[in-house]
Amino acid sequence: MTRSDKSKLHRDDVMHLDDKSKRDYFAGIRIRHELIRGTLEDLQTLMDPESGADVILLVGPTGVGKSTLAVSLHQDVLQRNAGRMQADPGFVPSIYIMACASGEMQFSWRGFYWDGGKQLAEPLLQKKVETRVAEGRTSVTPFSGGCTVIALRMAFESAIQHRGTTVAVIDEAVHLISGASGPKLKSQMEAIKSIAQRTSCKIALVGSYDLFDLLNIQAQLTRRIGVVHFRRYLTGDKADEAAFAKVVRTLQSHLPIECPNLEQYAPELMRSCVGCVGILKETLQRMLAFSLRDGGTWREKHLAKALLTETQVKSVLSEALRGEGRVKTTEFGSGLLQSTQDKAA
Amino acid sequence: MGGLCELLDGSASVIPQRSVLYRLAPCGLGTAFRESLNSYVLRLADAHCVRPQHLIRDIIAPHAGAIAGSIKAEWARAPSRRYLSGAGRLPEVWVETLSRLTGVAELSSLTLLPLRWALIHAALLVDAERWCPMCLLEMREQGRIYGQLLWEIAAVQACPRHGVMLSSSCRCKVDDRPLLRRGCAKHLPGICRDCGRALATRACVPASQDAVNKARIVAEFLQLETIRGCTKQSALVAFRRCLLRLTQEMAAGQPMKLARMLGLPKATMQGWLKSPQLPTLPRLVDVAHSTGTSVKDLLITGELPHQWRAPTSPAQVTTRSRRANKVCWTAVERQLREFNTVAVPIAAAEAGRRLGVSVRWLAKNLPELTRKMSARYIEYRARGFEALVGQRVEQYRPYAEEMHAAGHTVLPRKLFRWIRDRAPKLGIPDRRACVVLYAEYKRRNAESP
Repeated sequence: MTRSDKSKLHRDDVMHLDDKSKRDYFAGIRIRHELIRGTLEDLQTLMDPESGADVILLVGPTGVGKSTLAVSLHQDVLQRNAGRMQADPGFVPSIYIMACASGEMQFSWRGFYWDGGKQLAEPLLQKKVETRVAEGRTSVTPFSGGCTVIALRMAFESAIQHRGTTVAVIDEAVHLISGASGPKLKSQMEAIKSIAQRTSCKIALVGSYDLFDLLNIQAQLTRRIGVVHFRRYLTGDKADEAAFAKVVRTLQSHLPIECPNLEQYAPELMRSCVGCVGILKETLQRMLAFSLRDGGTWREKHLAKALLTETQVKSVLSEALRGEGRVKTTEFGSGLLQSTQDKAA
Repeated sequence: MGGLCELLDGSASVIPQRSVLYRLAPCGLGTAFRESLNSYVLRLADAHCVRPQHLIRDIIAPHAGAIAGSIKAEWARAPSRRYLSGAGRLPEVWVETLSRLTGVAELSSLTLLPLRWALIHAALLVDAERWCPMCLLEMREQGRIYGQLLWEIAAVQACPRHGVMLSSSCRCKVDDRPLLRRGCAKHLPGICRDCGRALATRACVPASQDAVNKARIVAEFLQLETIRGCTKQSALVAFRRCLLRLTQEMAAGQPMKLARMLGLPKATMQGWLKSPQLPTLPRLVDVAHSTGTSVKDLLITGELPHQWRAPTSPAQVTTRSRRANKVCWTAVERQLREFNTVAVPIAAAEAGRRLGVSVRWLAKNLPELTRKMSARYIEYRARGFEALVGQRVEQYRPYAEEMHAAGHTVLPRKLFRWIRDRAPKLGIPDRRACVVLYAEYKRRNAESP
């Protein structure tokens, strides 16, 4: 079943299908809940050309739904430019790249530019040449069966300019800086910033709180970075609890099995999933798998087995609390006016 | 049950099929100074950061269908002999294929296809790369350099905007600047493929008024592409009508008299009046220049403009081949003697070009003078080469000594690679200098015990 097929199905259509189709159907469900909507609005504000931010960091705890949000942003840009894409077959308003961990000590820029080039429908990626200007003479690197990373970078920047791309979303951006520190980290960030400045394309880096390391490099670089915090639903906040319950209700409405109202378990689910919708979705996915294996009948023990262990919950929660502590003074909208600062003092 | 959240549509993140190549906008569209298709392909390859031959072989040719082989063969020719901007079947296929790949619709304007009703395919495009250095300078300031279609037309010798002769060789041929290594050439308008330097320069040769005028006539002709409804037949009818009017006004109704006034052979005039063939573009431009009309008057309106006055002494039409018995050999001999006394000798072919006489006729009719001129030029070049080789030998000597000290045998090819790898600033090493150094070391080895 393809992704587009899945998105057109309803729960009732899936009820009579086989177990695998049911699991695939539920896995393809993505919901636009309150926090996604709010965070998306913040992102769109920073994406405005006048915002002054070349690079936008979208950070949040693990399992909160950052990748879903990133895809949502990408879709939003595509939808808004659908008319122009129809009229101009060369126009690509937005790209979505997953920064992969290459398994080596340092990040593979070659792989990154290659993936980006594929998104931009760039031909002949394996035959790019680099233009050099030295002593008033323009030449190209001799082509000897392979292209250099610099050639790929030049081609990537050229593709962004000529395709009119305004937004580049890079998911799992933590891999960009993994294993890097000091000058190496600075050079990684400068590479990203250079792409953004030379092409006038906004780059959204999506990842965990580790991306904050990029803010400590240099004031000149930090000035052009905007931070958007995709927070979790917080226990003890009435509005958050009601919104989380709505999410549980929505997900249950798409579960292709008969089960009692899961909303009664919302507080327990909220605690176990640390308020993260992504973890909630994965938990319900596991619960569905256990139920289907048990003949398609739901039992409470399926839900109990699907929950994260206490150790896992503690680990996710402590990471989330650490990150939330760092984000207090750096996220978008956290700047204080003088009068407010005086009151705070 | 309370309200539910809406779903996110996963299918909307799929980007629809995009054009294979960028939708690069052609330069100068709608003007007489528009880009040529040759230049557009080079700029497209540069935008994609690939070599032009890879773009053509791997992307454009496979989309051209049955004619893919011809497309590759056309590009495989020397840059000066590519006729992409013409008016035949091959440019048509190029335009159609590129339009499909880029999504740009107006590419036929970069060729002479919109004007093919007025053209016959002989002597249309020039077989040399040419440019106006002043135009390139202006383009460089504006940040966009491209090759103009006007420069590829054989009838144009000068730039109509700046009044300078079109150039066809970079100063690296004269100054002996270091050349680029093989395979390092940047194929882009405005850059020399041999030395990599910009071709834009203020050092230009002023053009004669005739050459500028003819270039302006061709520029006006290029702007006729917007006129619709013209066919070869209507152009032929208009041309004959205009020719008859000119005969009436300038030669009292006698076509052969008009032919003599313009310096045309009688057969040519008779052919224009009787056969169903239009003149070539260079000849058409010459006639328009000599009679003070325009190509529009000759091929579209067929009438003389209201303010037209018959020229008192019309310029002679330039003929590509003059008959030997029509040449004033006394004047040619006098000119050749003068050429033999100048400080910097010129080749016999260059002398023939300046006098408008083929070098074969010079050799046949003035053999002694021509031989003396050629010998003088060959000796001058040899002296120049010797001096240059001597200079290079001194430059390369330290590297040869370094190679010898490292225990390697000094052979010409090894020395060439040694210098190329260790001294890239010297450019491509001179093989003659390497051979001289090799001979020196060989002699030294033979003399030493």
